[in-house]
Amino acid sequence: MTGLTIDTDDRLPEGIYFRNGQRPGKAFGIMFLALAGGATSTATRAALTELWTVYDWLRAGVTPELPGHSAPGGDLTYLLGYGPAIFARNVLDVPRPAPLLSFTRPATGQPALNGARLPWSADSANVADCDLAIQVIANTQLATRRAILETHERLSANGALRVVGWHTGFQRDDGRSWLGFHDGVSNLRGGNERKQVIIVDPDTAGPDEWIAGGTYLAYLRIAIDVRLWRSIDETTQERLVGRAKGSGCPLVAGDPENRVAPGCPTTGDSISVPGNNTHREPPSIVDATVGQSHVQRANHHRPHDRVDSGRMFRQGYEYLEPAVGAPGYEAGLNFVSFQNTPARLVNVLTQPNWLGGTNFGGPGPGPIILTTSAAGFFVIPPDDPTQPFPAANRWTG
Amino acid sequence: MFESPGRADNFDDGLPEAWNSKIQAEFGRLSEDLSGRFFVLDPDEIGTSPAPFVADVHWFANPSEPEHCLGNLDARRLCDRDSRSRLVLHNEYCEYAIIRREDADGVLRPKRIEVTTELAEYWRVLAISSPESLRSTTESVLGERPSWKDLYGADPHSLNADEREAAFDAHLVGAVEDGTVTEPLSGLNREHALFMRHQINGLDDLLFIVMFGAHPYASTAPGGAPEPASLDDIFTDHGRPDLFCRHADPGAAKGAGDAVWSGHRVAFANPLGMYIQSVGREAFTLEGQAIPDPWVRLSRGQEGMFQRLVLGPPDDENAFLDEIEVDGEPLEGGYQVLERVEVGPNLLVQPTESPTTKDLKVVRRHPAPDCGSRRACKEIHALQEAPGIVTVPRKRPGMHRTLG
Repeated sequence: MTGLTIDTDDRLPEGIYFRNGQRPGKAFGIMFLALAGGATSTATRAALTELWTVYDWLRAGVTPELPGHSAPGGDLTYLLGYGPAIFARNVLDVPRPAPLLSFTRPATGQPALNGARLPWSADSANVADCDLAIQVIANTQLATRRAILETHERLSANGALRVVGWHTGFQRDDGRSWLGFHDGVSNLRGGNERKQVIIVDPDTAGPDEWIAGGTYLAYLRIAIDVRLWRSIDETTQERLVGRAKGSGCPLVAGDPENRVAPGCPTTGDSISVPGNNTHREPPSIVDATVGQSHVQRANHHRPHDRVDSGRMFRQGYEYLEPAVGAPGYEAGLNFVSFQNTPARLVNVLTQPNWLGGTNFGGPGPGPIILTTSAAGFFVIPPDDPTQPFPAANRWTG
Repeated sequence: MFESPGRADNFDDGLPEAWNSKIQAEFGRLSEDLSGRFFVLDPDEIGTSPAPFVADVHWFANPSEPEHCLGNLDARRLCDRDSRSRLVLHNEYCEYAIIRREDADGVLRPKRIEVTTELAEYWRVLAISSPESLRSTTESVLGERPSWKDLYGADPHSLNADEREAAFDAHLVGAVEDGTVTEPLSGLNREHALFMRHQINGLDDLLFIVMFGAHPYASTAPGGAPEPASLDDIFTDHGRPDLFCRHADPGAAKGAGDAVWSGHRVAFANPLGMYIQSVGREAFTLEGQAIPDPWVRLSRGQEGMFQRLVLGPPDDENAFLDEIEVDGEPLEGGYQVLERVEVGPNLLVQPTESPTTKDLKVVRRHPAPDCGSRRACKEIHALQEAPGIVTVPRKRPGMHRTLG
């Protein structure tokens, strides 16, 4: 992977905000699509071609239902992913890429992956176990929601594809998650580091050469039991997370008391203040208590270009939605990551001394703070401006 | 005094002294180039206040280099192919053998995987000092009492120490002469994984990489202050960019280096050895259920210090390895198992003073090594294309992971 050259990133499609200085839009949506029974490759291809044309219009501010009027495009980006199921539909001329795998079938309490401590929250179908996914990101809720509405309408008319589910999310501008702790702090630095993690290397793509220069998207709809989390005292919360709650500084010791990395924060009162970059990455030498924390289990400090580092490029969005029964809402994270093989995330979620040994963090399985209701991996083919939509030339017929 | 690796054996007839003398000899030799005030060999020297603790130093055991060169699928096939692949590619301080059996239709299929992290030097000490111990240990691992012929080619009681060592190496380790690898004569460590025999999975290599890493390597950006050097710069500056392309060397060196930079002394915990640190057993399923407990057998050490894993059904069961699924695919060989196994030494670290400017070892900045380049992958491509010819760089006597 270290041999990747700069020009390979030109083929990574939009919607992955990995370049230095890029900031993803504040609003997020993801739609999961299934081929209708009996849908032909030709009809499905036509449906996707139409969708990409409509998205182009929306981004340009064209409002098809109001000729002569425009609306803010919101810097909309749209990204197409191919799920494991579509490779069994006889509509593509390429086989399923070997690394592309499915999550286990939903059954309440059962793990989302063999070996994971992240359980399904319900028996109902996993909407992300589908043929295609379309991620939309924009600066406004309007822009992403218009794309979602138009997708429904266009597909309804076409009939070859249908939307089986969709989720939306938003960005928190305080850099924290619903747990109250800083989140995404140690995400990869920009440029080469991200590329080496994200992009499928042309030299090792083998029979999956058609996705060389592309990537894999992982999506998990992760619900957080905020009420349970808040019942845990702050000292314990910090040991589970591996950071100080207020400052976000990484812990180096949790026994007999929590101790943050020396000199942290360097400036201001939290690591989100500029000048604290050296403290964003958790230290690798920590005591046994902190060694079991979430941030330490999720990152074993190995060279990022290795699959075994478990490093991935995260681009998640929070959500908050009404729910039946107490507490009356569901809070959580639309976990989105990009990586050159799903194995990076699978290792993190399933290996015993990574997150496979715990639901969230700490020495054992711990309380069930996180559950999931939808999860899937998708191939993101490289961009090809000559095609009407990504990998359009791979459709038969 | 270091006990037997993993405390797997309780020998007393001079073997502990012989094993420690071997460790001391290697340490002494390496100290000429690599000694520093942040590494001590004897964990007792580290003391108890402030309390030392075990650092997080481990890595996935599947060979990294072939994956850089060939991608996952071809790397898997090549590493699983035969015993020669083991000699050339299994260089992450973990080796395996695929045990195959005929099914009811007479088809040869993988039955189970034997994985070992045992150091050859320890077994060599047994072979030289106590043939009976070698024989009984081999029997306890493989379940059958081996003949002297299988272990030495002859009765070892008629051989002197040098002859025993040579006979042991020829029969259970193999040899590297003029750049060509010769397979061991006996099937005991060719058809099985009794202990590691790759030329750079040795005790000296393990000592080397930890001692090498236990220094405050620094680099300086133009106009900036010294900061911890990156692993690739450290290895490249010492003429060994290839070491960066493995899992093991960056893992071990980084563990020791991070400890030093954060003001810790480093020592091997007693007993010194290479250990299986985790097995993702729940990833393996049989008809959607967890595989039976007897199909995952850890041994050759106490809890936390296992050196041997056997995964798969025993001979008295009709099932075969490829009936097990992992990540939605049939389990066909050892590479897939090693993708779920982490290994590493147990390194003790103890808070002490941070490095001063005088301690810093400054390295230059370099372009990142290209682990997938034609040059880096030359030998792996050759092995893939011409399985009958195995050529590896000649090992310098006694020092495998060396500086260029």
